[in-house]
Amino acid sequence: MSVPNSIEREIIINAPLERVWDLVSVPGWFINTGTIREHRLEERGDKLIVIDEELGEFAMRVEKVEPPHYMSSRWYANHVETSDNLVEFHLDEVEGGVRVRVVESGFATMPEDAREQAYRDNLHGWESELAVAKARLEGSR
Amino acid sequence: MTEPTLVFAALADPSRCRVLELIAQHGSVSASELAGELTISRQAILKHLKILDHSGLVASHREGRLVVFSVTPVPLREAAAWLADRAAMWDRQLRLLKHAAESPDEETDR
Repeated sequence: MSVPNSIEREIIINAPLERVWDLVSVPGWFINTGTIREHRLEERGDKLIVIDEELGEFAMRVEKVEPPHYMSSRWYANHVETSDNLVEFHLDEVEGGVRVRVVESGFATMPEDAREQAYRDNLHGWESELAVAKARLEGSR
Repeated sequence: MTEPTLVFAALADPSRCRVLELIAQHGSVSASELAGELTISRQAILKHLKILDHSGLVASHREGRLVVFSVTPVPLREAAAWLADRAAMWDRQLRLLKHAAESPDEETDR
């Protein structure tokens, strides 16, 4: 039974570390439909809301920022603290540029009783957002 | 269609994985039979079975007076496919990042 509880991907970017950091450290830069674009950000309670004109609102909280090498944030579906995946970016200078490694973890975080239904509802929302993003990305190629 | 996250959560507990493995080995098995092969309490086994059933990883049906459990493989495959999609999403986003970083005067409005 080997379903992992995290995803890890990486890429080498031929650009200065500071420049890559400037892009990576923007909350929600990866919320888009095929081009990195600016988002409106709103603080609501202890959450930061990233507002994408097409894909909608995403609630997150920046956890740790260590410029220019590391940033982590938690992402919440529908502003409810039930699906709190951790997204971490690691930046390292390597031959040929900067290695950016993304680790997303927390798929197995589950509230086991009363919050479960809310959790399931949230998940539907999050998955349909992803499906929209996927369809648009693949349709635009 | 079950939620992949329920599958990940169901598999996160080692003793629950053990219960699932035992069910898979038996093909179909009752809670009492499972209790005979595990060191955890019957109550704990029932709780694990409930979570496994809810995640869609096992199905239950009646055989006379017994409820028997068997493994349903589809949710596991779906969960794996969901992870693969998610990984592909990150690959696309990392390529966008590379593109933006390597062409400083376009792509971003900063």
